[in-house]
Amino acid sequence: MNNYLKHTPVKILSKTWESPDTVTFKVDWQVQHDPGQFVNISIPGKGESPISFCSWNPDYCEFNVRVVGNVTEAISELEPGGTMHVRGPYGRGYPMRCFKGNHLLFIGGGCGVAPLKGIIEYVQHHREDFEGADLYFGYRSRDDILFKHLLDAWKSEFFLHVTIDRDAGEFQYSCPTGFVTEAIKHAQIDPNGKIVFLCGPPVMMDKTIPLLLEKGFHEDQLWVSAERHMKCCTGKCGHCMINGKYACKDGPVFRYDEIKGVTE
Amino acid sequence: MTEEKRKPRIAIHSITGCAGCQLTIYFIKDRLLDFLGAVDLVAAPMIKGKNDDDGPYDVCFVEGSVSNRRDLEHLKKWRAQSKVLVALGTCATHANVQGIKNFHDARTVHERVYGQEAANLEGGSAPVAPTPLDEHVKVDYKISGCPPEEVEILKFIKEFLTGMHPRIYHEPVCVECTKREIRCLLEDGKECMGPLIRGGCNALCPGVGHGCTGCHGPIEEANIPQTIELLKANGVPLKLINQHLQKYAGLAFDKLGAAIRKEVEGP
Amino acid sequence: MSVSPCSAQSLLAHEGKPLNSVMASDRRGERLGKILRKDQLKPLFQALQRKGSLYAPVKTDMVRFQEITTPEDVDAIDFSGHAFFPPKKYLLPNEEELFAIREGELRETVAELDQQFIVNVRMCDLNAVGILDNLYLDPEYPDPYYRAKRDATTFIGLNCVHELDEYCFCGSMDLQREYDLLLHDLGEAYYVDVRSDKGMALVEGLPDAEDDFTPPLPRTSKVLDPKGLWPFYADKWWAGDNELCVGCQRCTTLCPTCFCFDVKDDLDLDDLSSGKRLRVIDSCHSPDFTRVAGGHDFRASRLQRYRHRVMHKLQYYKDEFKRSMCTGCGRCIRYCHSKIDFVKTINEEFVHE
Repeated sequence: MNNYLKHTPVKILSKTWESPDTVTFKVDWQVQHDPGQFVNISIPGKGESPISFCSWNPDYCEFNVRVVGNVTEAISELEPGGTMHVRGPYGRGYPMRCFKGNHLLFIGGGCGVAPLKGIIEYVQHHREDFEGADLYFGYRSRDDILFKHLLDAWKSEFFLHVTIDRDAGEFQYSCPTGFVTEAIKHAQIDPNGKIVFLCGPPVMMDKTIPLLLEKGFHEDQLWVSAERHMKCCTGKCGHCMINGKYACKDGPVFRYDEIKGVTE
Repeated sequence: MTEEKRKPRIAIHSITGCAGCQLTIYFIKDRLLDFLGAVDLVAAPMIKGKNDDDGPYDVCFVEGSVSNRRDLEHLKKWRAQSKVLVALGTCATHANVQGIKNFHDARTVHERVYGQEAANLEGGSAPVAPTPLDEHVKVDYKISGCPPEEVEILKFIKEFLTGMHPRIYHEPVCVECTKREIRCLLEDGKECMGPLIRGGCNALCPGVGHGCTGCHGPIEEANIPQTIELLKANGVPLKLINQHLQKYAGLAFDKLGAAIRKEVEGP
Repeated sequence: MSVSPCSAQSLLAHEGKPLNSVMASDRRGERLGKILRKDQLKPLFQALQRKGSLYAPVKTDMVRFQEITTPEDVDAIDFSGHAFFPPKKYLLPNEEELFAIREGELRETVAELDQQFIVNVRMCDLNAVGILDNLYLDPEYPDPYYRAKRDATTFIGLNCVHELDEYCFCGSMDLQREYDLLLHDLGEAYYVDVRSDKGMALVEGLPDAEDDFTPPLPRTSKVLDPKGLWPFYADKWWAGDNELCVGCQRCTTLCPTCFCFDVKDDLDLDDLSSGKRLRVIDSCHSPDFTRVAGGHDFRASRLQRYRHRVMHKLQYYKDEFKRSMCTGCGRCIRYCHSKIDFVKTINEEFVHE
C-alpha cells in the first residue's frame, strides 16, 4: 500500500529571499496541480509544514515559505542543489476552468499573496480565457513586499495596486500609506462579471469581505483561502477542521458562501 | 557551512533551592556521556572544579528561586551573559515551597526560622520575597518539576542542539494518567491536583496510587473554581486545598485568581 | 451578471460515501448463526491464543483490555463490565512509530504483524471501528499503519443483554452490526452471530443455529434525542457545561472514536540525524490543537473546544458520513471529573425548544 505520509525527494533549483522572513524555493518537480493547492514539506527530525504552491508552471514548482516556527525555519535553511522532501499536492484549489470569461480581482495580504501568484501565473498561461485582472496587495512594510522582481511585469499586464501599512515613502507601485482594505473601499469596482480571490490574515479577510458585499458582490463571486493548523493534509488528523469541513481536504480554497460564518 | 559547528557552551547554575534539579541532569545515567559529548559544559559548580563564571553562555540553566539579594545579583549577571536562559525546576519557574512565605508575614517567618539571628540578615543574605526568575529577568524557557523530569530535560537539549525552539509539554496530568489507564483518584473520592497541574511526568504519583500534589505548577487554563468544587465534594477541607495550591506555585495560582491569600492562616 | 455557474459542491474532493460496510462486505453464505456451549468458550479463546495474540477485558480495580498470555489466564476474562479504555488502542495506539529517521532521511518502518484477536468487545466499541475505518481507510489516502493492524485483527463482540450502567446510551445511537463474531448469551449457550469470513473460519465446526434469529441491539434507558445540533450551535447552554470543564481531556482520550493525531519527531541524543517520527494521539480539547505557527488560535476558548467536540461527534461527522460519530458508550460522561452530561443538556434543550 502506498504510504500517504511518505515524502518524495525533489531537487532545489534556486532560492530567493523575498523579505527578511520569507523565502521562495524553486524545485525540479513536474506535478499536475491547481492554483491554491498545497504540499507538505518535511524536515526529518523537526517535523512537517503545509506550504501552498506559489507558481503554476508545467516545468517546475515554487514554494514560498515564511519563517514562523521550527519547521519553516529549517526549510528556509535548505540550499539550492540540495533536496526538499515533499508530499502532495493536497486539497481543493481554485477551479480555474469555471472562471473563464471573467475579470479577476486578487486581494492579498502579506504571505497570502504567495498562493495568489500561482493563480496569476495560471492566468498568464491561459491569457485568452480571462478578461483581465486587478491586483490589490497589502504589506506591513516595504521590506515585506513579496515578488518585487515581478511587479514591473504585473503592472504592465494587469492593474496593480500595492499598499503598505506604514511608512510607504516613495514607492512606484504604491498608493498612500494604509491598509489594503482602504484601497478596496475607495476603488471603483463594478462587481459585474468579476471573480474575487482573497488570501491573507484573518483580520484582512474579515474587513474586506463586508466591503465587497457592500459594493454589490455576491457571496458566490468571492473565493477565500483558509489558513489552519494542518498535520496530515488528508482529512484524518482533525487539526484543520472548520465547523465540520476540513481545510486540507474540502479546502483550503472555499467559495465564500460555503464557509460564511464559520470560524472554528 | 564548511567549518565544524561549535559545541554550545552550557552553564548550570544554582540559587536558593535544594540543587535536586541539576542532579536530575547528572543522573541521566546512560545518556550523560552523550550529553557531555554534545555540549561544552563550561560552568557547573556542583560537579566541576574549574568553572567559567563570566560567560558568555549559549544556554544557562538556572535552578532555585530568587530568595535573597545575592540570588538576584547572580541571576542578573547570568542573564546578561547568556543567549538563552532556562528556568529549571519549580523553584525557578514558580518559587516552589519557599514561595509559601509570600502568603505569611515575613518577619514572623524569619523569626521562626532564624530566631535571634533574624535581625542580622544583611548584605547578600538579606531576604527578598521568594520569587520565580521571570519576576526579575527575561526567561526564555521554563521546565518546571520538583525535580524536573529527565525526559523533558533531554527533549529540551535535543531540540536546542538541532537549532529548534524547544517545545515544552503543557497538558494537564490527567492526559498522561488516562493514557496509562490509571484508576482516577478523584473518582475514588481522594485528593488529586491532576486537572490543574502541568503533566510531563507521565502521571508519576497517580501511577503509584498517590494523588498529584502539583509540583509542576498550573496549566495555562487551569479551572480552579471547579477543581476546588471536585476536591470539596471528596471531603477535602478548603484549608487543605489552599495549602496544596500554595505549596509549589502559590504565586501563579494567586495570579490565576485562586483566593488563597486570605484562606490560609498561620504557618 | 455573468458569474460562472460552477457548483462548489460538485468540486468537493470527497463525496462523503460511507464505507461502514467494510466488515459486512466480507459476509458470504446463508447460515450466519452458530451455537457455542458455554463450556466450549474457554477452549475457543485458548485456540485463539495459539493462532495469535488474545486481548480481552480483565477486571482488577477496573476493567481494562489487556493481553491474555497464558491458557489459565483465560479464566480472568471479564463478561460483566465496561472497559475503561476502549480497544481502539490496538488499532490506533497512543503513540506509534511512522518512520525511522536515519542520516536525516525517513525510512519506512514496516512491522510484521501477528494475528490479534480482541474478544468481549461491546457493541459501542465495535461500531467505533467502523467509524474509524471511514477515516483511516478512505479510498484516496488509506493509512497503511492502520490497515495493517486492522487486517490482522479479528473482533469478537459480546452483546449487552442488560445495560451496563446508567451512562450507556448506545440504544439511541442507531448502532450497526459490525464485527467478525458476536457472542449473544442465551443462558446455557451463546448464539454466535457470524458477519465475516474471518469470523466464520473460527467457528466453522460449531453447529448451526436452528432458528432464524438475529441478536437484538442493546437497549438503554438513557437516550439521546437524535435531532440535529446545527440549530443550537450558537446557544448559551454550551457555556453552562463549559464552566464545569476542567480541561482534563479524559473525554477525548477515552472516546472510542476520537481519531485526531499529531506527528512528532524524536531524535537520538548521541546522533542527532537519527531518531523516529511518531504519530501521537491528540485531543481537540488541547489549547494547542488549532494554534498555527505564528500564534493565532482558531479555537482559543475552552468553550469553543467543547462545542467542537460535541458538534463533531453528533453533527459534523454525520454530515460527511451519514452516521453519528458517537456510539453511546458513555465514557465521556462516566469518566468526566465533573460528570458533564451533554446528552442530558441536549435533551433538556430540545424540550425547551
